Amino acid sequence: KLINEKYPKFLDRPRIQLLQLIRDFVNNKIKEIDKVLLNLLRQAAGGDWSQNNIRLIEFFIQIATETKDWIYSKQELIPYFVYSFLRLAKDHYTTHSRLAVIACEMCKERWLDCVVIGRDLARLIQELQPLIPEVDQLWTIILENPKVLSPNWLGLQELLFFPTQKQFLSQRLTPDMEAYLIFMMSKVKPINQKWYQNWWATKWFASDIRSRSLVSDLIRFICCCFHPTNQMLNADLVKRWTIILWLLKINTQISPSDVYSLFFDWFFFNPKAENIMLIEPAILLMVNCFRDLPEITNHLEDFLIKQYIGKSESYLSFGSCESFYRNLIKQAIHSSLKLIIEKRVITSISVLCSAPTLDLQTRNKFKQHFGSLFPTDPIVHLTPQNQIPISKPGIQQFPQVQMINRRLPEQPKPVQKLVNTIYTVPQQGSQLTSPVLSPISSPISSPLIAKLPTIISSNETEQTNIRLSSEQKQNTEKELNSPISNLSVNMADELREFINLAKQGNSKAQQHLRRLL
Amino acid sequence: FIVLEKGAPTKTKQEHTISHARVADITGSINLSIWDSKENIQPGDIIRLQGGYCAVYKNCLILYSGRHATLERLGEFQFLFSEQPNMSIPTQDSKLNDNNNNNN
Repeated sequence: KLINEKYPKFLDRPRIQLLQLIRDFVNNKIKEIDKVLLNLLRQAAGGDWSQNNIRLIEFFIQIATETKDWIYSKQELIPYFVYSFLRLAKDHYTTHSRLAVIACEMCKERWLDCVVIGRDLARLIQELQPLIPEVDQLWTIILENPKVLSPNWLGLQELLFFPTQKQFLSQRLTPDMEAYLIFMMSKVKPINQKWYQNWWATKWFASDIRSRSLVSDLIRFICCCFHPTNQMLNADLVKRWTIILWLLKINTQISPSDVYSLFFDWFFFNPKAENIMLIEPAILLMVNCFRDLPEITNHLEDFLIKQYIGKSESYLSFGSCESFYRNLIKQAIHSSLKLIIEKRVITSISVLCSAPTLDLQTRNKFKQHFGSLFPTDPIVHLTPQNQIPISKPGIQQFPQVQMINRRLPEQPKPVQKLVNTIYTVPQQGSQLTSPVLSPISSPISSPLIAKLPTIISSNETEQTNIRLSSEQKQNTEKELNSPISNLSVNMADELREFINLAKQGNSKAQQHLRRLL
Repeated sequence: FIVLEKGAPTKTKQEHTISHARVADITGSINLSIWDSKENIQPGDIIRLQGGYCAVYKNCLILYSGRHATLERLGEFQFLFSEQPNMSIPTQDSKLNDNNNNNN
């Protein structure tokens, strides 16, 4: 307790004395000293290059080497040590390479204890891998010979799908950092947010440019450890993604490791087992930034797409088992996006591919890879009485879906105009049918179809068997058949004519539309 | 209250230094002027002032520290405040002007 509250305020001399005292405690194996050690370990902040911190790190290295057996006997301590050492090694690997070496030894000897940490262990090891040879060795062992480490362990897959425990993420932030961060997220209103951010920055980011490495820990903490309740989300409080936005912008150039830590949960997301709160801030950030700060949304989208594709410029590298893990990542990203849309965290993902402020290439790539997720438009949900099955074109239909989606931004305007005309002129059947049947993605047409039966008096119930050639038209057919039972014969003819036109060419269909309008 | 911003210290003719700051709490914000303070106050500090008074100086309402005032630093950061209303915006209040003239 003493350490938690007073340690940051200690001057130099008392700190040194305190460390010596604790070392004697450890050597004599006094009870409860492990809790003290853990609290002290927390004080060793990432991104802090002050003399105090370095002294503290050296202290821990000494303890780790001298009293190894004792630490091994205390099983709970091992994962904390390993995690902290790996993280600190990332900052200090030039001066204190012992940190990484010790962590690797601990991993090799007690792998099952270290696995408890979860995904972030993999993240840390990956980030250190190019820098330190021992870590590289460890990583290749993990990838290729997992049985060496422990006979019961299935492999990297198991580690990656195990979400990180909250204790480890909060271990990497000093207690006052954590308290302040939680205060910011739970009490502050957006008007005042700037002040608090500035004060935070003067306290922890101002000293050194290298202190920015703390950002990735902070982002992980915000994403994983702090899940605001629905009440808090509805109240007028600072949102998590605004804080992450500020953190990302602290560096003049957005650092890839920060973006990696932001999206890390996306890559290995298991929608059944995990909370959507892990992935929510990232998507909110992307969607809310595209207007004013398009470069950030660009960057994030770009990163996501690169990881999805898995080309050489991606941030991760899995060595020999590349394709296997790449597929896992693809599935996970897909399922996380799906879940986001299902739970309506954002209204529509089409923003990310149709907004003019974003870079065209990223937009197209996004459409290309995630096009199958677009049909769930918000308009569909307005008519509960007509349970129109929403058919999503499968992944094989990419080229057609691409066509559809490119026209998405243009269509809503004529559709809306027609909605107005419907209410004023319900008898002009021809006008009504044409927007219904344009080869727009089915959901946009389906609300109109849904409205038609209610607006038009049901004159005839005639099943129009519209034969459509390509698959995409089959999907629209299913939807058309049910509500079209209310349309009159004239409309049916119009329908057929229009669909024929549509088959011949989209431009012609557009012209037809315009004519009818 | 919590210190929002800090201004530059000024010197009077009798060689007193006055340090300026803008402080705020839930009800609003105001300018604070402290005479002969030895302690350096940082923005973000939470402070308790005992023995202060308010006066109008050049049409602004300003919070001063009195002769036997004490300024205590309680902590930092974890304090909710509101910047509006700002009591130290210059007011063109005729009553105040009359008062000043009478005092003079």
